[in-house]
Amino acid sequence: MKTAVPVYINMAASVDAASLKELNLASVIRNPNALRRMCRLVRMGVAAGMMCLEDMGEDGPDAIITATSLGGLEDTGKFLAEITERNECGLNPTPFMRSVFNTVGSQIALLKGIKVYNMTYVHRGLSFESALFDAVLQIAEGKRTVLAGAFDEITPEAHILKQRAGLFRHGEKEGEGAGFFLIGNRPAGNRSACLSGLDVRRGPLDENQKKEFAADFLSGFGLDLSCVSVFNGDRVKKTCGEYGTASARVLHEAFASVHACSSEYLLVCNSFRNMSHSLILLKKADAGL
Amino acid sequence: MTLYLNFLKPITDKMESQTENNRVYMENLNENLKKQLIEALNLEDITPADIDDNMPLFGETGLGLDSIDALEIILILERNYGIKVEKPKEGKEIFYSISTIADYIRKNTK
Repeated sequence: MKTAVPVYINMAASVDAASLKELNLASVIRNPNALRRMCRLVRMGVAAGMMCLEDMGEDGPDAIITATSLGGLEDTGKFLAEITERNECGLNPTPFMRSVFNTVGSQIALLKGIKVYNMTYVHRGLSFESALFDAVLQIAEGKRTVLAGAFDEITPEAHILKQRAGLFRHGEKEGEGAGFFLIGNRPAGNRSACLSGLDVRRGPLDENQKKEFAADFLSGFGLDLSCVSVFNGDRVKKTCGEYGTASARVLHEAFASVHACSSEYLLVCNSFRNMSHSLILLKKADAGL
Repeated sequence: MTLYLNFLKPITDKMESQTENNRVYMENLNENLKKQLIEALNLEDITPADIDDNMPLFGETGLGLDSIDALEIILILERNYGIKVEKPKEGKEIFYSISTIADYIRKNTK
């Protein structure tokens, strides 16, 4: 999909388990009661989202769009265990509240005190891309700023299930984290990048089919593979690991390097377990439309 | 008769031991409540020593708890002491401080 109107990524932030420990969370999430109720996943997601909004001051975005492939596994597990242990009586409300998919989006809205379009996508390996599609459509419909991001976590139980499913047989490194982006209808500062287009494919693809997918996508912009720099998501996943919304982390790294590229365009390629694939085309924002 | 009493002795010993445990537990009720509150409400960086027995638990002048925390305290009473707060209107007085919660537990423990 080629974006119908100019869409810019103006700010990006990622938080993983290691950076979460180093963060001064109280300065990012300024409601102590909300903060102490947040589990690790929610802290990662809300912190990344709030870091993107820091420059907006008291104002908030016109829309909040989040994505997750599996949601709050830790709190879902706690809540389900309580249902059986306590025979469906006297259940603790907090794990339930934190276990729902849209908890990060709603917490960001509560912290900012805003009532805006708030949507969450849970589409396995294409969850983040679905959120990004929606963000582009929201900008096309006239919104000025959209906060879009994704988050997923590792839990011991989920690790065992993935192990039994044989997901680590081919050396896959398990990952987790949150990545958020402030998207706007105009660039903000010299770090902005233009989000020119994105496309997705489902199902396994061999190397030739991946090249065909990229060539088809680029032809929509009058480009071919020789005109663009390519950012391979697998490179990032060697450090951050694989998870359903790792493409948000990949896009963050690509966004950080777009202005250092030799080409005007940067093609970000992501593939999740060769089951879902996405291409995102970034353009240097100061290079014209 | 002696045979009968000897037969009951392990049971009466166990009952006495349980009564003693309950007595010690109720004597340390305030401290136990503080620990249970800190754990259930995930009060990071707060120790039982930081919570005064008469400090208001709710509102800005005290510990700063809110309505979701009140639900958690209701669960603490149900799960740990078998006490149900039947009249929600009484909640404000019962949950005012650690001392008021402890008094309520003592009055309602059978």
